[in-house]
Amino acid sequence: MGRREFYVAVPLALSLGFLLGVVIHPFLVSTTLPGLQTPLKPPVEIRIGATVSLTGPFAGDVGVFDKIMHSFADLVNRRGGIFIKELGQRVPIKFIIYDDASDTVTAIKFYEKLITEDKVHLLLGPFSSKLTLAVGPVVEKHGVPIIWTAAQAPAVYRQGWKYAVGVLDERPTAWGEPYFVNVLAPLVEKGDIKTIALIHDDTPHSLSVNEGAKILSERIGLKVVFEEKIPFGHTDFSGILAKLRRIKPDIIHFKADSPPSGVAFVRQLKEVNLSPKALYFAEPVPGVLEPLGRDADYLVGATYTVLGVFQGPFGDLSFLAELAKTANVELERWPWFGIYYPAMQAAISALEASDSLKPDDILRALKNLHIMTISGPLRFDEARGFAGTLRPLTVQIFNGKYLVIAPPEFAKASYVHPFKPWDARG
Amino acid sequence: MNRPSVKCSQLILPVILVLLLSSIGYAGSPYIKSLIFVLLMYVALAQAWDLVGGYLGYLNLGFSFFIGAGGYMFALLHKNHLGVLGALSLAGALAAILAGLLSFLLFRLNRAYFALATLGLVLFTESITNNLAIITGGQEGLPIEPIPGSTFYAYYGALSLAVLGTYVKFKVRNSTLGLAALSIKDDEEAAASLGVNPFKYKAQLFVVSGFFAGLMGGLLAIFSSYVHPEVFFGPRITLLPVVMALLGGSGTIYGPVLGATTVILLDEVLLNMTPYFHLALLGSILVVVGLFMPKGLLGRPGSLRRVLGIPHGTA
Amino acid sequence: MTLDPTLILEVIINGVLLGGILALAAIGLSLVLGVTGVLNIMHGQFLVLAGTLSYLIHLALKLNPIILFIIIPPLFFLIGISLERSLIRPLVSRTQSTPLLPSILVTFGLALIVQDVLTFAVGDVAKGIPTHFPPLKFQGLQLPMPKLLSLFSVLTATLSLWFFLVHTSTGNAARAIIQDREGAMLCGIDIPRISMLIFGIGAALAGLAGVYYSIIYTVQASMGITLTMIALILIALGGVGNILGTLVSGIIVGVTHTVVELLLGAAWSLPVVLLLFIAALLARPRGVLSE
Repeated sequence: MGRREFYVAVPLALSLGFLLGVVIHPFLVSTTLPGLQTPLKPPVEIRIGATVSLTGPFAGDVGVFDKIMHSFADLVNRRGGIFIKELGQRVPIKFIIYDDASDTVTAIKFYEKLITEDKVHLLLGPFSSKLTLAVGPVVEKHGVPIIWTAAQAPAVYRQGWKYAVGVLDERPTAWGEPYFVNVLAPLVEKGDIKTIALIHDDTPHSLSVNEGAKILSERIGLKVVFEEKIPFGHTDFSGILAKLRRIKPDIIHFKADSPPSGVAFVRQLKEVNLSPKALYFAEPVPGVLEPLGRDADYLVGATYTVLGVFQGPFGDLSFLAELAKTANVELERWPWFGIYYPAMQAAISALEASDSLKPDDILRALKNLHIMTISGPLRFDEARGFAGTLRPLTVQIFNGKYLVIAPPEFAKASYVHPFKPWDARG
Repeated sequence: MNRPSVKCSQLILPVILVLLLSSIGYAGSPYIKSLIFVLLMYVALAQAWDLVGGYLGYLNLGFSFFIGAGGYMFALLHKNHLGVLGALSLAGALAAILAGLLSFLLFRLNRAYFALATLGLVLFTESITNNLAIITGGQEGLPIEPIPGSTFYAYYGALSLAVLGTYVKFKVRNSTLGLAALSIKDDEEAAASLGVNPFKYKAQLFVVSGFFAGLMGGLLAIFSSYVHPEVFFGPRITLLPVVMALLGGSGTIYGPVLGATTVILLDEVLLNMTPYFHLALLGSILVVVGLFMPKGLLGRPGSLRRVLGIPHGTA
Repeated sequence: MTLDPTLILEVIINGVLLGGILALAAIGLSLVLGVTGVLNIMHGQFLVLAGTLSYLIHLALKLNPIILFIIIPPLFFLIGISLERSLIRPLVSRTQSTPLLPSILVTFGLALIVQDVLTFAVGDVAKGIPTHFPPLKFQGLQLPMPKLLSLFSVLTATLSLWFFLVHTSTGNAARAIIQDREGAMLCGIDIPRISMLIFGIGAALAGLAGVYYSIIYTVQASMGITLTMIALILIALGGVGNILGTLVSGIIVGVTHTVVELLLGAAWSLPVVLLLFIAALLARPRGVLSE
């Protein structure tokens, strides 16, 4: 062979070798995390598949959830596993998890793998509406049941997918309803507050919550005097704040998925000394509260993750404490634990309720499910495209702590009104 | 002028490779097909990018502009009941037209500002795509109606573009266009003074590059059944083809192929092992290549080529 | 809503403050690029690293944030120098007159490594420091102290650099290198030594900007490369190596951003700035504000 052929041959040979390896590999070694090597799949084991964003922009939201899932399986198996009707015995569960790197194409690829190679019985969804919308068609094509964990965009539930259910109440008003109806409405009646300003960033969840705020404002008689959409990650609010200082709204309703935006907004609000009567900061995640320190006091928002209010299977505080210890994760610091864990609870419950391990039976069990979870009662509503019923609790922040103030039946503290003006604070 | 003919023995391995890849498209598991689709997509994109980046020396840092234009065009046309092939062709055509128009503006700039202007362009486009949510779906994206045989279209489309892209690079390299491009890359002023019309050649390559990118964008849309600004205009798809081409050897025929294969292969193996340190490993490879093989793995002296005894001046 | 003058003035002042911070983040890179010909993509990562270190130090020691301004820039001066000696110098000597492309590969690779290490250490999440500087009240306006300080810093830095470049022999040598590298070599100027010094200064400035970012905004591991791109935009507008040009373009960009937000809404700030940027490049293909 001449030199030219040689240089062509080497990279091509490398590629060929790689391809051959890729084709053969399923027969050699299983590639599941975190290093379990099983040459063949044992018949009596329940496999639940998912991708978790361990890297990429969403890692800050769900980066430790693989550890939580694996630890959950550990603890459940130590207690004997789950009871499968078809087999008439208790069976261990196993999570098979891949990193989707917050990327749609990677997620698609790994759900294909989970379904066709790992042969999972049930799937949990990826984080965010973006990944959910990309993965949906794949799962639907293969007909494996999936529980969406973190899909807020109403579009997800209007695709007509038959094999998917979602845990969240996707309705725009679900987020803020307790605050508007239980807390603000009486104040409107008294004539204490009249106007509201709405600011939200450009994500499906924020768009939905903002829509809800408009609907709820109209319902209780608040006038929307300002509304603006900011790009995701926007950190300079000079123009908006200048306008707000002229308008002087009673309530400022701020919803941003991006923590830098939230931190910048509250800091700049303080800089211009604008103190509304209430600041509704829809998503007060720890990533925002930490940089703000005491500046976050008096903020009102909502969160799914408040432990100890509800339970459901494996939902009692001692189990959760054991889970936290095994996984080495501080559960309350992860705002989306409150929706991921109910999905896991639903998965277990559906598997136990199902007549068999066939996909259609598991799906039917899911759709008929009616259970309690750590974030409240859960069922999947056919009329809304099998979206769920989980709603966040309304909280007020003091000294970095979440105090539940609404709905009234779960309130642990009363709402403090009004927002303490910036120049009155130390 | 050097127009070497292609020896039969040179084609044996590429042909075997293509046959193997074709059979995977038919017989492979869905996971493998997805994986290879991604690989083929990046080979095609890296090659298309390198037509301008490697042959002309103009770094298009906003390459995903054409990918996204193609992807969104396809999604919108398909939503309005145009068939897959029709929508795909129009997507590619739109990208080519945009490339043609933009070349009048962009090639007035020197290399540094060309790079920055293309970067600015794609950032601008992503922003506008978000803002015009009524048309584009904004951050919610546009789901695409399920297409029967979508995997087939996507896979073989990507394979064709990867092969075609490599072939085009070979053809151009050994043509007048290629020679002119190289002379522009070496010393634009000298080339112009010798009668070479720089703009004509720059525009031609830019249009071909954009056309490929637009088609690939449409295929990506078919594969994902979904378009979203971050997927089609985001940093990953904008920068990966660039890194792959530079890593593998910008300006060579097979360099981008090697670069794409290395990155995708490495990433897949790593993703299955540990969530951390992919970026660090890729970064380390870039540092090593940048320091010791600045023209990429298959680039000029001091690289793999010398080790393999490849004479200077071929491909 | 009617546009009253005080509204516009407020917004413009805030724009200037924003521009000041952006410029502070960019001038270090402008200097380095001009003198050494190396495009240091790590520059943004220096900023993020400095911000993260500030956060960690503040978390551990709870000192007055002023201390951070004293320890971080010198630390990064040293980091910059060691980076130059260990990696950049061999790179430049290997590639002679065109270190640009390989320097992009190497510094981009380094930036990825640092990003991954930071992600492993503290996570790819926003980190910031809560501070309580009293605002400056002036003519009915309330001006935030950290942003004023950063504007003050960037003006001081620009002035000091100007003085350094024009009135010291080392600085003159640096300017000579910016204008004509080969000529400077022929004059016997010790390019490696000066490059090393400039690299250190550039890193120190990035470090300083990083401390400000952790106080005014937040820093996050994946922000580094984006910040470098923003700096590049300012440098392109202002002219490579032209410190004053970078400052002026920073202020123009900042004011455009805030005024557009006032008039058209926040969704249009970025697109308009980018559009103007591209238009400026097209109008003066050799550098908008270059001398």
